[in-house]
Amino acid sequence: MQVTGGVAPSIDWKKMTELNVERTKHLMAEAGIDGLLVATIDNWRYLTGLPLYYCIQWFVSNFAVLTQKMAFPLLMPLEGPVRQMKTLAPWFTDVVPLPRAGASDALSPAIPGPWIDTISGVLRNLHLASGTIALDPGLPFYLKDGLARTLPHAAFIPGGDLLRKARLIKNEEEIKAIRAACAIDEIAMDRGLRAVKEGKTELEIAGIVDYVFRTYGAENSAANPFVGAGDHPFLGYLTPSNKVIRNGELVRIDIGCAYGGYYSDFSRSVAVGRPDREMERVYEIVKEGLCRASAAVRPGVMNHDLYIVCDQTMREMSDGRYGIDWWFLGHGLGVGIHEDPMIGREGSVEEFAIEEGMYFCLEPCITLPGKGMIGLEDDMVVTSDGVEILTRTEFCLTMA
Amino acid sequence: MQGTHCGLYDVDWKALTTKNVERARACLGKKKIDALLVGTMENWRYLTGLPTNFTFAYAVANYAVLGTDEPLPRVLALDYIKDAMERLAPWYRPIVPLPFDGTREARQPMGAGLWPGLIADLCRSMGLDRGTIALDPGIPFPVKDALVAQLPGARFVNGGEILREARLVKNEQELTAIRNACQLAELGMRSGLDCIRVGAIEREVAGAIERTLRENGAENSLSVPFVLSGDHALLGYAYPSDKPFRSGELAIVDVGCSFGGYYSDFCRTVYLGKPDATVEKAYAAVLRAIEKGIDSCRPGRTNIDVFNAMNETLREATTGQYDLGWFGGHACGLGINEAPMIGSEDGVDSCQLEPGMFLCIEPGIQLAGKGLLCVEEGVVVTDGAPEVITRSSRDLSPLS
Repeated sequence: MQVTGGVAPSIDWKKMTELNVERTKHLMAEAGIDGLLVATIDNWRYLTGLPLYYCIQWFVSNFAVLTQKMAFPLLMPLEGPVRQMKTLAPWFTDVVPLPRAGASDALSPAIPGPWIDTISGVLRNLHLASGTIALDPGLPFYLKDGLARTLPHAAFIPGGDLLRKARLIKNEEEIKAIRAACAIDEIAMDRGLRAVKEGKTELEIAGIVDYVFRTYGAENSAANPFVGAGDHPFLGYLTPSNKVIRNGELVRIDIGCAYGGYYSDFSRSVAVGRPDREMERVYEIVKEGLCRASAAVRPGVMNHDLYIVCDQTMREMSDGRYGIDWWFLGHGLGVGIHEDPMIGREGSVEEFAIEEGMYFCLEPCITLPGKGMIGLEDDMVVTSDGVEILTRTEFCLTMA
Repeated sequence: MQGTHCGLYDVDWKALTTKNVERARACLGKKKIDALLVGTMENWRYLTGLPTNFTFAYAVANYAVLGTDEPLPRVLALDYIKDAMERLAPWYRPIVPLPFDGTREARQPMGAGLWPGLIADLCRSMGLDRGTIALDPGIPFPVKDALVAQLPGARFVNGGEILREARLVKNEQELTAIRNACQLAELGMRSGLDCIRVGAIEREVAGAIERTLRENGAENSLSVPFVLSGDHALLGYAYPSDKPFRSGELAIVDVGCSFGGYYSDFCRTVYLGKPDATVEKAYAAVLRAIEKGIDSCRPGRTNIDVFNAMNETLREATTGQYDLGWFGGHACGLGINEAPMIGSEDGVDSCQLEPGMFLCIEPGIQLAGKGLLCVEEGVVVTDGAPEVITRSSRDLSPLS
């Protein structure tokens, strides 16, 4: 939650959480849900705004409950970070630290310990013992079974639909964090692309990306930075690797980072050495597909139509030779890296009418066997009458 | 699963998996359980040895079922990486693809769509539809509830204790992976310590560490490298910030990374400037404590003995000025905090130490106005003397 003067306008974290809470409470009321329990790192972030360490152990480790009566959710964090949380966000008045659980819940693999009683005690105190409680769909089954046992009169329902709907539309404070993530990502992309050179390895480029993310204030990388040279990315899935980048190859960099918990995710491709004519032609095709689909984004357009615009543009430009060769064109982003709205083929992804405040990426990609991938991707946010592209790195096949 | 320019040891992944499976199967047999279903990144890794991309979006995105009749588990994996996995580990052919399109699993928050049906089909084909199946405790409740509906004749039990017992003692191949993770973390530590000077900022040092880890082939950093100085280190669970290092402060550098899914985790403290008598005395006491702690990591002793040895040494050396509270370390492996925890009798559950355990011993104290003083080492329990497998210099001055 650091504000980096250079890339982030001042974000009002309290207001962000207030707006997220308000939206969630409104959706809860509509669905007749009395309480919501979140547990995973992304839903926790959405509902509390508070950072957690990005590590395997903390993907499901801190809990929060929201009811209609609350201005802010009640927190049930691990003991360790309580002090830091109270310092960062003094507006959380209800904090019930999870008991230390000497060797049970807090360790990996978890075995049932005192957390079930702590959580059910909190739910009972909030008068939810016979209420309808929506649960974070990432909640481990043994905790849900334990809650169902200790609160036999409560109705526990999956909270996935509720949380997906809540997270779908971003408020102005969330968009500020998103802009900052995109700005940091652009710097990493620029450094990474310019470092591509024959003889370097994918890992060396990825290391530069990691360095920029950290030094410019990103919390974590969205995944292992994807740096794929030549045929390597579609032969194996272990990207980046120590594969040496060779002259005549294409290198695709697809990277994302979190700022204040909100993710960016975009990609560019470059040629190593002088690109051949096929590379140049295909680059233009992918770029045009992306740009025309992006230009078609506005409130009211359907997600499936964006797929069609991109696919048809690419086919028209290549006499039918190249199109989108699978079901997928893009995905929503936010506190997660694969959210609604998914952008893809009808039948493969749920239909969405695009609305103001949605935030997603489009990522057409064509692979040239023996040469590599040309993948171009931008992040965009839907405005009242169109779209704003948030990732601005130039399209340049010869940037390396 | 790769290293560029440091002398990493070869790991036989098939042998590693075979040994892990044998151990898990023995634990299943003792409890008369027919099969084990895993879904979290770390338990999936334990049973399959296969890598995944490190991102919380895939925290539960691949599954495996270990039955009684076949030597290795059956694997279910994301459809677009399945072929690459089969090439990497042909002994798992055929891997059951888990489709991403047209399902609720492609998005966050993840829902249960097609996947439970595919898992149930596989269980049925393995003759488990009337069997007892232990479940990875991290499996989300919507998946478990759908499995119960799909396999009404099967009995599902919590597999947490089985997995914990299996993972408690590491085999030689696992220890080799851990040794590699320690070597990589040492490289990270060195590049971090080399950047610490008055005026440098915490994030710059953390970035240098992450870059080094990535370049040398660590799969991912354990978390954000904890590079925290002065009072910022005393806040607890803070992210490295743009705080500059100042004269007269302690800076802690706590680094870990994964090699093949297995984690290292160790820590050093340095002092900016010439340490005064107070700091030197406290540091000497912490070093004496960790040496006592390491020496106690022997079969027949308990985790609590290790803690007591450290705590008593520290109190004696500082005439009661400092103690460790309840915490002195943790076991580590595919998870970051595994059993046994190293702690006080009222803080942790007791556990007899056995050869093959990997413990991270970390006595730490707070020095008001100066920061946190902590040294952490990775220790393997053997039949004889404990083996310390993290070797970075413990010099209190950063640039020597």
